[in-house]
Amino acid sequence: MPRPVRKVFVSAIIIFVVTLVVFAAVSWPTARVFGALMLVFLLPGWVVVMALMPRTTLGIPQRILLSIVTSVTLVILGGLVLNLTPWGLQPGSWVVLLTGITLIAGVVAWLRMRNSEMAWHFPHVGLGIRQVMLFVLALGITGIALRVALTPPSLHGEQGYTILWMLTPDPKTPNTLQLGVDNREFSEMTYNVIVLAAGRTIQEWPSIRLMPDSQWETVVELTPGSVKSGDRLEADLYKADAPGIVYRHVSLLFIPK
Amino acid sequence: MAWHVLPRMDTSNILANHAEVAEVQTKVSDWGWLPALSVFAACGLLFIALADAASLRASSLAEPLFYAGLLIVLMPIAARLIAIQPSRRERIGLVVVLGMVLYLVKVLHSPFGFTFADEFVHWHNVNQILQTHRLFEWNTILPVTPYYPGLEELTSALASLSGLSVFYAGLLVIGVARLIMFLSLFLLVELVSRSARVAGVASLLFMCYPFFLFFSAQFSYESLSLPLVLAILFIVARREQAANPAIKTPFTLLGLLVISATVVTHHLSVYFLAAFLVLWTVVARWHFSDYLTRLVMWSQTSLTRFRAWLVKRHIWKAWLTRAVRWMPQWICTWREADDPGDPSVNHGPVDLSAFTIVVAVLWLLLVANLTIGYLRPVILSAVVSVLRLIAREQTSRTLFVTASGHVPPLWERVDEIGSVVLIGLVTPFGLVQAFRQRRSHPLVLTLAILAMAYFILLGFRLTPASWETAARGTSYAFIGLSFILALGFVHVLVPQRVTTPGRILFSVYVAVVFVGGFLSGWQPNIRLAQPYKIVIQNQTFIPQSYAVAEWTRAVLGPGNGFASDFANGGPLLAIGGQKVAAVNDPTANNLVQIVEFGPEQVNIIREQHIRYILMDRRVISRDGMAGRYFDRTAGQAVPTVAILEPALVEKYDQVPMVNRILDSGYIVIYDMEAYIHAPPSS
Repeated sequence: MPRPVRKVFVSAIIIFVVTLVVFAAVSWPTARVFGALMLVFLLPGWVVVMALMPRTTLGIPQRILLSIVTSVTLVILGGLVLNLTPWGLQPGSWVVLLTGITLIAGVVAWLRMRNSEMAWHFPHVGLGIRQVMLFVLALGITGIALRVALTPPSLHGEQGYTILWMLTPDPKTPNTLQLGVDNREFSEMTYNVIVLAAGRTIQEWPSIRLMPDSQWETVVELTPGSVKSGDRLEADLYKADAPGIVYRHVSLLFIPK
Repeated sequence: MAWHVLPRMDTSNILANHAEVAEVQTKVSDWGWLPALSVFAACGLLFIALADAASLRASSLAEPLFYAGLLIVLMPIAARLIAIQPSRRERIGLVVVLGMVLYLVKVLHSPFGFTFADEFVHWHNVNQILQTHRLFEWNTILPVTPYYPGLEELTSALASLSGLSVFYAGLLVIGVARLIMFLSLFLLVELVSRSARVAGVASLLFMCYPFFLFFSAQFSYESLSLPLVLAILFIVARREQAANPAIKTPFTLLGLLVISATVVTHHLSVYFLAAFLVLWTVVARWHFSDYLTRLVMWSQTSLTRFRAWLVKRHIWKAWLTRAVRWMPQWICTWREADDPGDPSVNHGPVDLSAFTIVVAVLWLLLVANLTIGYLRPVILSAVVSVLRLIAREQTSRTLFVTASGHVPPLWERVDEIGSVVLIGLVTPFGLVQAFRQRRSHPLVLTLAILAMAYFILLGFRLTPASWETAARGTSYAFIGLSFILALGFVHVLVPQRVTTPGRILFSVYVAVVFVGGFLSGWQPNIRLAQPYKIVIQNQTFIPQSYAVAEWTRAVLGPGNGFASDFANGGPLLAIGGQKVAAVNDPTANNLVQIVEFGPEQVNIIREQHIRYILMDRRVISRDGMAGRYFDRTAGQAVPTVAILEPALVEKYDQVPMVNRILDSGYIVIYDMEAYIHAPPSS
């Protein structure tokens, strides 16, 4: 009798539609991820395999393999097709492509299975309570392992750093410099920054306090008397606890555009 | 040793009718030890997670924990798979559990983001697709990769539909690829050998190839293409077995589709696939088995005549009798025990072979013609170096010494050698069994020939220029080698019920081969997790190379020409979005690794539009895999890292009209704008 087959097929379509609706709602991240996984890795291939082989009994491992491989293949080849369209590879075009393939293949499968007398039996899982508990335990331990790995480590001898940068004048604002400091030293730092032109100090910031992972930026105005074309502008950064040692150094040639 | 007739298929049903399906499903409903061994595998994974955590704390417990975890994962499952009791369902489950747990080992290694060199290349390609919604954009580090966009299409589709980051989408894609790999190999070997036990053991042994644990699990196009190749082989084998056109035609269509997708995914994989399908066709159509049978008959006849001549000449001795007597009988048993096989599988996939070749060539010539320039020097240098080694024009590389000069401990060297020796010891048994089964399926001989490629590739590992080519080729050779080894174990060495010592011995064998392969395929300083994300009081810190790459995108904007070393090239490309020539490029080599700066370098800057040069003063920046992590001070005031010669790293400070625009301690960025517009110099 074809009814068991139709029931399974209808069930698959309902699951697909529900998945699509939930996915389209995009308000629940987990559902969106689940829907995307189904759409990219399973549903199109499953239905295409059913359409190609409506009367063939495939073992579960074979059906799963062929469904996943076919889905992957459809995405790869479908992407080439989308690349030729004006819309390209966007979420909307992917949804249209993959749901279109699924629906068309579903209709083909329905028509080919309509007169099939083959019944389909739900596979016997055969899992006892003890086995289920063991699988749950395995998943739990795996989750703990992932949790351990996803716990970012704290400091164990790693070295932090400070970034000092200086950019050439913007053509729109030719007499300015952009200067920045980025503290990545794992602790609060106090810096002294000096800007020199041809060896002469033109500006100084004696005490820049920065928390870890924070930045300081400024724009330096270059007055005509302080710097002339061809001068080398330098910025030296010192740590407050080591004022005599240049910690970071940048320089550029001042050539106004 | 007794020779055994090939057993019929035990529980697999492909064309069965409903009654058979129902009966078989009752028989295969036993999950056996799968649930318990899943717990074991999870415990092993927890050990490995603790090992990675210990590594991040620079603890000496890290390595013992890591190898203990690997053995806990591997050995119990190996001991179970060699047994005859497990059902087909249990064997498939064990293979999938083992394979996915071993994939999670790589995930645990780098759980926060991509860290391997090739991953940055493909990450950038995915970013390009997500930004431009188009394929075939640029990639300056590996220009050929945008023209094989299979992996990137899949990842960008998943990322854009799910909202996941490229990293997590990539992890899922490779995880699904791994599932395809294990299922395909199991079903393929089961179909060829008609034994789920052989399939389970072959799938287990396939995981022992050197690049399996990390390199083949990274976010890279070959990590997707190899599973697709295995899937194609299964589809083609399944098609060849089908006599009914209602079955044959769909599998043909599926084969055509998946072959097309693989052509678009990776170059070398599809070339291997084409060569393998051609070999399969040749073996099937030219009746190699018949030629081998004639060879066997000639050998038997010759031996008999030789013995008669010796007797006539009074040379025949008693010990000769004992030595030679068994040979003709032995050869006779090969013939007598030969399985006639299924004649329907003896035509070979000539149509799919031709299709693969045509599509691959068309793609190469019409779309991805960069591939020729990319592969030719790699393959030519590998072949030339081996030929020169044979001609004694060059010496072999020093074995067991890494590029950085590290010499591994004795146990690692013993294990690496031991794994090769153990493979060599079992292979003859498998080859003999394959010879006996040669008529059962053309793939038997084809896979045996492929298995021999492993030993040829061992020779390629002796020169630096061919080492990587050989190592990558080993993954394909292992498709055949794992099958041959499984035949050797299941049909020759342990054909009957396996005792507990036998199972332990087999699991030790697998452990030695697996660990030996892992040790030879992955550099020691990054076998365990390294620090690239640190959290202190809810603030996250990243290494200099990542932070500088982020700065270039935010402040300089994407798309600038950069020259850089190997370690910083990947972050600059994927995170910074810069057009970076990294140290494997002659451009970067000339600007970053040579002390001189003269007209040649100026011409390169002008012609290649290199606006910025990134110099990293650490020696480890030359290491594309290990150079991106935090440096450790080991309790000292400054880190214990080797620094390059000052004349090299500070050379641009002496060059006039160069702007030093960023200094992060180890990394300095120089602005070469003045030289981009310089007139050509001779």
